[in-house]
Amino acid sequence: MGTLMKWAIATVVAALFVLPSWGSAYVISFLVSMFMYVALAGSWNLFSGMTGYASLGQGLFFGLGAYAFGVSTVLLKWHPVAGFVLAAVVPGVGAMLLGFVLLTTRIRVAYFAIVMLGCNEVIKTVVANIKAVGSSSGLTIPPLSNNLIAYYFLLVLAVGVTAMSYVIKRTRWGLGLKAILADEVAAEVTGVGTVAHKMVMFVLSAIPIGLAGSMIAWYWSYIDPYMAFDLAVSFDMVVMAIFGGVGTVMGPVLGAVIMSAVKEGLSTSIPQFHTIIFGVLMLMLIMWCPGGLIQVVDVLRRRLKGGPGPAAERTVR
Amino acid sequence: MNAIHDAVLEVEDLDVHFGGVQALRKLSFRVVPGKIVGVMGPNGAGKTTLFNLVTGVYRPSSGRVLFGGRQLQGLSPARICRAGIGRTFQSGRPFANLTALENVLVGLYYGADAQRLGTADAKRRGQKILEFVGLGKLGDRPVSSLNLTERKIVEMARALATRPRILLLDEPLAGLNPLDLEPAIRIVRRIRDELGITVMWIEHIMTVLMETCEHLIVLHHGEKLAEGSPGDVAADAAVAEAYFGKKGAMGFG
Repeated sequence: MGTLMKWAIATVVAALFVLPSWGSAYVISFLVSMFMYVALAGSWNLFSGMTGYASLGQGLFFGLGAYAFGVSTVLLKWHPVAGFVLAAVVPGVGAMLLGFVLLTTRIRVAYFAIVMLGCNEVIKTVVANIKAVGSSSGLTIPPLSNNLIAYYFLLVLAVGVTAMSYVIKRTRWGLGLKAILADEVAAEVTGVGTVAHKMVMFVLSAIPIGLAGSMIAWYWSYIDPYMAFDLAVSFDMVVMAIFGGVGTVMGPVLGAVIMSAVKEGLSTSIPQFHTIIFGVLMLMLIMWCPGGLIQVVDVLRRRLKGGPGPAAERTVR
Repeated sequence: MNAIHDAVLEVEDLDVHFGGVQALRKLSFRVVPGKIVGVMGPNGAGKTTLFNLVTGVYRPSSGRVLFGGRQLQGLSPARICRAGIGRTFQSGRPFANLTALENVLVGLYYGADAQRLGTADAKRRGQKILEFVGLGKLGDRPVSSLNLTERKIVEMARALATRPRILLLDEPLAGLNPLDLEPAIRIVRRIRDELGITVMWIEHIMTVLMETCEHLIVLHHGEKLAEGSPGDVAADAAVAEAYFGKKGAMGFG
């Protein structure tokens, strides 16, 4: 990443911090969902993008976070801050337990993807049948006093997840992850503790997803199992990360920003067909540019400068 | 001194089966330090399976693997690597998404020296290792842009970077351009001669093993068919039969 790029990113982030002084309620609500998607796509990328184990049920942790927050603040009358802590702990511990089952032995990537999807559905059904947490009719949470709480919370989360991915990619640990992504068995015989790497990244991915779930639950002021564990959450983050560029730092950000904008635009103008157009866009990009949008950006930059685009090389798998 | 402790690597009654297929049967041998040991045998003899068992990629059904007197079963491949066993793969499996130097750095950061190396030191050592194998100028090149010979040698360099006491090479010459064979063989020799690393070497080119190795182990259908100096093995009737058939019926290759 060039110095110019760094300054551009810093400027955009700074602008987003002061924007609420001018932005309309509509802009704020749009940005809240955009930040959520950036955080989700970035978190998905932390585990799946960096290890190659695509999870199709990472939204499970979103639901766990939402329910951890709802149950603790509404039923147990905890302070919201304690609710957030629980919304980090529950998905984190959940990921650890799931990881012990799924990631400590060699498992096929496709099998892992489907098992994660199944886990999301199982937990959804279980939650829908627990009377104490409102069964399928869910929980009502006292609304936010100010939507800017959600705005800033999710902005910090999105920036935090992106920064984490930036830092990890520059460490030895990140090099180990790249080795795992390339060839897990070869990484193992080269000394990389693949189980530890996968487990830590799985937990690091689950926690911010859980936190996003908790904040959104409060923002919605209502959760039920079908919203909290909606498969669309699981799928959207995957689609956005792939659209932007799997395994890169800025790819998921780019994918989430553009796709949430497209989603917003299409769902207000042509509500019936927006998912179809969404799908076609996705297909076109995957066919022409499997490295995602970030690869397009790199190719363009290379054409302009005549130099090599580093991120494009990084996406070669 | 008890002769058993002279061995770097000892395999005792190693048995493994996958479902009904017996891939290795009661295999035992000892590897003396400082030797280049060739492992030969027809396709399906269990050579690569043996490497997979020693490096912990597969678990044996029964039997033991001892490395410097220490039992290896139950250890993860990563721990076995850090204990001092390096390995390359038959088809050539360097990390294609990394540069040649980064491949070596993975070995330095995660191998036997994992905790002791600063980043600058590691990069210097990595460059030295690449120079040792003759790829000093290719450090910054993504491995995906290298040819097969270079990729296989990067893989060797990566294994060397883990600082092994024994290096298991799985057909390092397979698929190489004939012109690259001699330099590649020289690298293997220098790994033993200059670095003092014991080498176990699977190869299909018998003449190369006969010329380079001090000791040969011949596998056939998962069993040890013969073992000894190249001269002994060449004179062994059972080996001749396994390779060429009693009346030349089971042609090799």
